[in-house]
Amino acid sequence: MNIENTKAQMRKGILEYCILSILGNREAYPSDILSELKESKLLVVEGTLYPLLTRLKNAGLLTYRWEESTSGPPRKYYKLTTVGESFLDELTNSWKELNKAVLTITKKATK
Amino acid sequence: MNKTVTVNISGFVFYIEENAYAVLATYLNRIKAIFQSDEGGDEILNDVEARIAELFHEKLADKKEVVTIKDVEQVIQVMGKPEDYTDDTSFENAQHSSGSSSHNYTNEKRKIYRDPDDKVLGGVCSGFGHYFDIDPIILRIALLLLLVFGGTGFFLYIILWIVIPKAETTSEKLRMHGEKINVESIKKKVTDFSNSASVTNTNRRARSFIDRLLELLGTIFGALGRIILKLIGVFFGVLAIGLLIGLVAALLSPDSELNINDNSFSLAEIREMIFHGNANFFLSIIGVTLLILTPIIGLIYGAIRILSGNKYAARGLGTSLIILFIIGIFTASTGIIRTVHGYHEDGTSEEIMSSGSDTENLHVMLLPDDEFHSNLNLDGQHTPYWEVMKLTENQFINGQGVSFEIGDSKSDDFKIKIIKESQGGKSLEAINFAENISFYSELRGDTLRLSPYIRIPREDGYRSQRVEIVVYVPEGKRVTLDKNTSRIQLNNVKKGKSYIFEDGYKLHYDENYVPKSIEIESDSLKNYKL
Repeated sequence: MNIENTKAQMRKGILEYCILSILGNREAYPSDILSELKESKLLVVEGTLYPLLTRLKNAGLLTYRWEESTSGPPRKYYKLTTVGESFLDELTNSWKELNKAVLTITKKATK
Repeated sequence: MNKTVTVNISGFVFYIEENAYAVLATYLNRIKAIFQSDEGGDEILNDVEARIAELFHEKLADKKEVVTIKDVEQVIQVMGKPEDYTDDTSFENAQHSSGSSSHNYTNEKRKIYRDPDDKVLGGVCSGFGHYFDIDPIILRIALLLLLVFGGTGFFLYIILWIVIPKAETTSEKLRMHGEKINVESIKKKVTDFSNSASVTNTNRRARSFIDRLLELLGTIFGALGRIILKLIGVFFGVLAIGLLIGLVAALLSPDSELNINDNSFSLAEIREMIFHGNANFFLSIIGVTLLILTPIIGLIYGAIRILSGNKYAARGLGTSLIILFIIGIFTASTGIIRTVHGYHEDGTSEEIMSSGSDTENLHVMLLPDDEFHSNLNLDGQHTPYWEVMKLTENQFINGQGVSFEIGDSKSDDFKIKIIKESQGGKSLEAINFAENISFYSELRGDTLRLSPYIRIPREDGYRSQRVEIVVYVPEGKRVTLDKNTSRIQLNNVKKGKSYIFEDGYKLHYDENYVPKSIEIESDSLKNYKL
């Protein structure tokens, strides 16, 4: 069992939730999302983000619009759809429950 | 100093150093390979390219004009290695990307593709071969059989060719083989191809319609050429098999000249009678065998080579076959020339009898045939030789060696000339052989009796010995042939045909068109018509 792998698995599992959360507050284009994720050390490389966004978009949770950019190609600005919003609510609930559960278990274990 | 190339990334033009370009192209190609089969794979790639363009843009902001390898490396560091792109979170997959790849095969569900790396025409058979894990040559042979028997194989193949996609990217090829698609396997595959191959793949997207059309035409013409080649191969194979079957049939069939059965002669007897010595016989047989077998083997070999795509090329076999064939020509021709030489001189021995001048009508008849069936109708060409030839302990008896002819006599009596003829290697030898022929004939009163066959000493062998009887008829007198003479060869008295002499004289035929008796007057002979 490789510790790095396990860490990567844990990160990847909550990555979708985090992306949806970021987009829950505002419209954003990949670089914005990236900088936030990088800040919180959830994402190390940018490459991982694009397949994820595409998948979420294809699942109907996200939508985007094009915006011209002064420094490069036009950018895709993503935002949540209504389905995405209810999905996010659902995820938030289950995350809270999960968080609680994990805390309870780890506290018991450390006693 | 570095050479630069121009690239278009997401609609933006960049000058990029050549080595940097190679790295970038490989990088993008690997990413593409990963997402090739995913839904939205193109979109992901476009997003990635857009981001790379953006990053390049940032790097070139401060008066720099060319993207260097360092820039590309930094961008790759920011974007992550190809394996980081897989957001597929299955644990197994993560283990694979960490390198502990214990079972690389058959984890992935196989997909059917045409294999461009192992193809005869479109790679359909090899694609199916990969899919079902069987040798494509088996499928090719099955397809050929379908093609030969019924022709459905052709349309089936064309349809499959159109319907099944070609495995072009690395991930498609891996999927085709049922190999797990992960960074390890892709790396392995990609390094199998040269960098240039990867570059070609990236360029493929940008290629124009006309380029693709030209490529398609090229493929079609190439395929036509290969089809023709394959057809030649099939033709060779069929020809060889046909020749073999024909050869075997010729040796076994009861109609065959070489037929070996109770009535015919054994090879040893033929050898003795015709070839006059073992040397000639074996030279001829070995030569002819080589002449027949080498082309057949050559055809089979050619067919196998063409149909297997040179897979089973045996070095030197072709040359050996040609040499054997030439040896065959020499031995066969030596044997045959030496044999034929034994026939090339002609020798005769003559004997003349005459009737008394009071004979008005010469009656010609054959003696009873106690060697062959006396009532056998031997006039046709279709009587098998063993029905009229016989080999005893010291004699060769030939029932087809007698012929009969009619001529004009200057004197007033019938003249009967018995001509014995033979071939031989030398003139004297031929005459000697002719004299050795024993033929019985007797002229008693107005009746000429002839033996229906000739006897030859066995040690002389068959030298085309024959006896010709010429009856010279005086003017105004006639010859009557007994009906049993239809058994021998009547040279200028045509049998089995209805013809009328100019003076209106008719031949008498029975219902089977065998003349019962033929009465011929010497005058009318000159002008008869068929």
